[in-house]
Amino acid sequence: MVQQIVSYPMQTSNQGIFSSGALSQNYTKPSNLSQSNSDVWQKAVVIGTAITTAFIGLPLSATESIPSLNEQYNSSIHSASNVRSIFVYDRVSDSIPWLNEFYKSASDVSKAKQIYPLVSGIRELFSNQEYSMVDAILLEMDHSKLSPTAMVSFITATYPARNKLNNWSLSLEVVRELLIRDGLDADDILDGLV
Amino acid sequence: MVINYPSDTPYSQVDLLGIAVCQPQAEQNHIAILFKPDADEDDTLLLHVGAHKSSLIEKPDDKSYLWLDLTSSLNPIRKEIILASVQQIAEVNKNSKVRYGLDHGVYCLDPETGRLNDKYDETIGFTCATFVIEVFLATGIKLIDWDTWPSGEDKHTKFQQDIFSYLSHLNGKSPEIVTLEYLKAQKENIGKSRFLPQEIAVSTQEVKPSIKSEIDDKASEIHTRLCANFAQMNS
Repeated sequence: MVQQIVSYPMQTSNQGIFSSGALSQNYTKPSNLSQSNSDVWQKAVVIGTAITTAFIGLPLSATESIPSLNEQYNSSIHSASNVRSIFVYDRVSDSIPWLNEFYKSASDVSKAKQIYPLVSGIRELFSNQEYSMVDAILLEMDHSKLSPTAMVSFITATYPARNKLNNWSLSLEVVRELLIRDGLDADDILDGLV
Repeated sequence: MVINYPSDTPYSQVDLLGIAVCQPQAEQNHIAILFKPDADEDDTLLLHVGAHKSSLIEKPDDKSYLWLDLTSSLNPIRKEIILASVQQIAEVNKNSKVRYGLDHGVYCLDPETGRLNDKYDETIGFTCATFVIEVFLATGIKLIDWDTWPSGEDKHTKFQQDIFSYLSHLNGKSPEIVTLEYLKAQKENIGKSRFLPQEIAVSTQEVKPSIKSEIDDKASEIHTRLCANFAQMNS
């Protein structure tokens, strides 16, 4: 039988060829990944509270048949209170530069380098234990501005913390329905997430 | 399973990301994640553990690595997201000095953050193969069913003892690099399951977690190819 031995000697011969730091030369790291100021966090709390006490206004969802997450909340509150809402609200995305930037071209997102700022930004928020903020980002997902890849990126990036995010499951369902509406194989795309 | 040779199919033709395997010395295999930092460019990088506390990110050399794309069954949208996730893991851990060791299945890369977590304590270390497993785990992909791997056979135990000797040697030279605590923990791993680079390479060709008995033949094929490639390069 052939014996396997590890590859550690490889480094000796190849070290001169490899160049460290190559990754950083190629990456465009989001400029505001470290942002985690208290203002932003407080807005997340405000949003969370708003669901039960006031109203959240967002642009209409991408489809008439599938209300956005916020509209669903909104609708249920309407029916309960029968009071017309007044929208006075700062979007969380406006407070997070990388997310705001992401939304600017989110309808065209299809490549990893376009997805990277979102994955990196979400993971940075998780690193800072800012689950409420991420939950608010899910709540605010503006599907009308998101490509299918962008929508799925939100879901997959937040999947590891789904049990800590109140809005994750509903976000997944909305995205799933929108993928189906777009004629995509939602089961294949979301395999392992549902 | 398509095994590509860089002389015929350059690394730059990898479909976003894949697996690279090589044989740096006779009968010694190595595995790394091959990925494109920018899909629009030809540059490729390796994310791997090549030695104790060595650089995690390097450029592949011209011809020593054979490479495979990930399974074609992977949805293209998910593949783009997985690449973004691997890139983030590479970026945030690029300065980490990962220990070479014999642990596995410890979920040391936090899937929420992509960073090494508390489970990666002073006693934990990875082979090239187990590191690849951990990276994919952090992107949501479980490559293998650990439970289908047997405990170390004699040849594996010999390998593990060689690793322990290597680490002991490093400890003798630089106890701050390999601590006694680490050595003691690694000694406990001798005799445990071993995951070969070629097995893990094959596991990337399936969507579901691989069962060892189902991938042995293909793993042997990769090993044979690596041996032949090594012989040719050194002839």
